[in-house]
Amino acid sequence: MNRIEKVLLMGNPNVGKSVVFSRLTGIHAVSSNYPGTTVDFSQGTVQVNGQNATLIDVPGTYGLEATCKAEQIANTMLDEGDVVVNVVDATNLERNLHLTLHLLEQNIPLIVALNIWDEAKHKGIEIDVAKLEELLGVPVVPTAAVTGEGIKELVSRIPEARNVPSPRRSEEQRWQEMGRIVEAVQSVEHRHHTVLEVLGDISVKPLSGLPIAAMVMVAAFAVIRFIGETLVGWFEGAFEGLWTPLMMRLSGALGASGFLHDIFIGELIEGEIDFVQSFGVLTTGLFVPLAMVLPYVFSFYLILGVLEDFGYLPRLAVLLDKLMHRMGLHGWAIIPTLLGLGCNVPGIMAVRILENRRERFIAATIISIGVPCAALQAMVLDQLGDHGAMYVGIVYVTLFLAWVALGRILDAVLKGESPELLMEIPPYRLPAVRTLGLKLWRRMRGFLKEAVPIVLLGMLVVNVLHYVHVFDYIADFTAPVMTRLFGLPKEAIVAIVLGFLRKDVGVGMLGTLGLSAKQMVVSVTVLAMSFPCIATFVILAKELGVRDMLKSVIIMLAAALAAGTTLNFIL
Amino acid sequence: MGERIPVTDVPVGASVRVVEVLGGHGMRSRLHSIGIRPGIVVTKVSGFPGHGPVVLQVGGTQTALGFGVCSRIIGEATL
Ligand SMILES: Nc1nc2c(ncn2[C@@H]2O[C@H](COP(=O)(O)OP(=O)(O)OP(=O)(O)O)[C@@H](O)[C@H]2O)c(=O)[nH]1
Repeated sequence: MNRIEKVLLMGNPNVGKSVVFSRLTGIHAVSSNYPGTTVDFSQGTVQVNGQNATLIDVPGTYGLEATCKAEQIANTMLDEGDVVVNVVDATNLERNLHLTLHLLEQNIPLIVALNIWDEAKHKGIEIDVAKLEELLGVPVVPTAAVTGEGIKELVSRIPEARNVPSPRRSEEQRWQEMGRIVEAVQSVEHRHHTVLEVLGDISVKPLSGLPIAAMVMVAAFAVIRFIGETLVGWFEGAFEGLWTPLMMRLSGALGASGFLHDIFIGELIEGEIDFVQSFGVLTTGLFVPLAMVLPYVFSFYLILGVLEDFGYLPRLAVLLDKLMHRMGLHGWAIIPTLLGLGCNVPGIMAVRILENRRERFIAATIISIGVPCAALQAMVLDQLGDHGAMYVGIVYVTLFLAWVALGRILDAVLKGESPELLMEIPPYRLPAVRTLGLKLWRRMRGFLKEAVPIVLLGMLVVNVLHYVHVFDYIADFTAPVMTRLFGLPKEAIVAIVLGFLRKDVGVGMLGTLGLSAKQMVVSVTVLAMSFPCIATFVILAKELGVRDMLKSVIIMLAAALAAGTTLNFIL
Repeated sequence: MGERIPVTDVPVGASVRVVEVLGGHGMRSRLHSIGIRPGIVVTKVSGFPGHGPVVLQVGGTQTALGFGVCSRIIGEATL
């Protein structure tokens, strides 16, 4: 056999391809218990016959008819590969064989990984592997990617992959063949519904599903807040105990004032460092991302990961389908929205799973306006929470209303129709701790690597500009809007501009202005709705194109102006 | 032989055998590839009021479909 250089990993959506990929390569691809996690393809290295080969995780497809984008991509990639590893969901053999038969008709060696083998056994599904090998004419290896079972054998048998010349069949013939194979190799032991299956069913029925959804959301919020607050308490303690003495010494060494002191330590409040108010790069600049935001990012992604891997999100999508239709979207759009509650960047990247440009525009725009990221929320909870839960509530309600209202307006204004829901609902699964942990770690690392440096850089720039009084000019220029429309001091513009770098730092800055509760509500809302932060900006341009991104930004500014003014006059 | 009705009219919990899938080629082949095609038995797991989405059990999988798509799947009562 020729040297294998490119191995393609192919399969239906949600068969565990990403988990197999990470097992084979040691690289962690994102896996979630909903179809369509692999929108982009990832690439890694796998050892075949002691030599390195490139492993490509091809987007999940049901067939090769090129009826959707994923299938077109899959088709073109087929031409470049040397071997296909076809990942098949053993709990769903018949449907999965559709793609397998298509692949057999291609001129490329094939090996089948019969994945989710553990669950199949559990469900009383028995598959005669030897018989299946014989009927397909290619190697078949049972695997359970989450536990690693069968992965070694899969790798060692890749060189055995074969290309059996088979004629092109018609769809009709393929179905017959699928039926025949399943008949011959599979026997299903009849058994009662499991608790998870019963739970799965009642959570997609309207009468039981909606109360369950409400409970899940309230519980998720409560747990996120509980874990977040607990961690914030610990981290604050650590900062005060360990970092304060060090910074006080540095402050003394710098002479308690002057240019360097102002930039790195910030302003001393009654002779002490105040990690929220001082606003130095090494004080507030480290404290905000690490002690105030990180705990919430952690607890948010922990809970989101559990909901994702358990398989709850597609059910939520079904429940909310009708609501989303009113906004020109369908239920699927709830998934990017929830991701956006962590960080708008992955949220907007996920709008790619939506079918058409109109939907993607609406979803991306209303996410960047109405969906506050975890960093922003952590700061709002902290800064407004002191004034009372009611004020926090006002901000959330305003953002939610803006989200719905803008969706409805855009749906009415933009030409075109919203496509219909067509989505597989995976079974509930108990999340595997390993995949959960890896995913959480990857997301945390992303935050630390991308957010923290921007916060530090942002604080540095702001402090320098502050020192040379640049902001005074800007503040004078926008003063009419700030004071007359929003009822804010003119300096509030600095925080809003700062929000362009990082929203959390923007809220932190607002905290130093001594605003009243009402002013805080107005300014935080404007900050959340106006300009997206720079990272979101870049992603918007990439996903929507520059023209649509600019349109989106104009809508954001208008919405922020309207919401801020309204709040100022009705509160 | 039972009467032919769109799957949207099937009561929740009931099963029908699919006899026809209406609509354009693209929609048909999307439905076919997720296992919804003539001859297959589908069970309605859930249906939302006011032309909301429908959830069907097809073999080992559940699939959620918009009302419009689902109304184009024609079934016949199984015996
Ligand atoms: N029980 C069990 N669950 C598995 C196995 N492999 C994957 N899973 C779970 O199945 C779900 C889907 O896995 P993914 O790796 O995201 O699936 P995928 O095929 O990459 O999906 P797309 O990217 O959407 O095409 C996840 O919740 C996994 O944890 C397995 O062998 N056994």
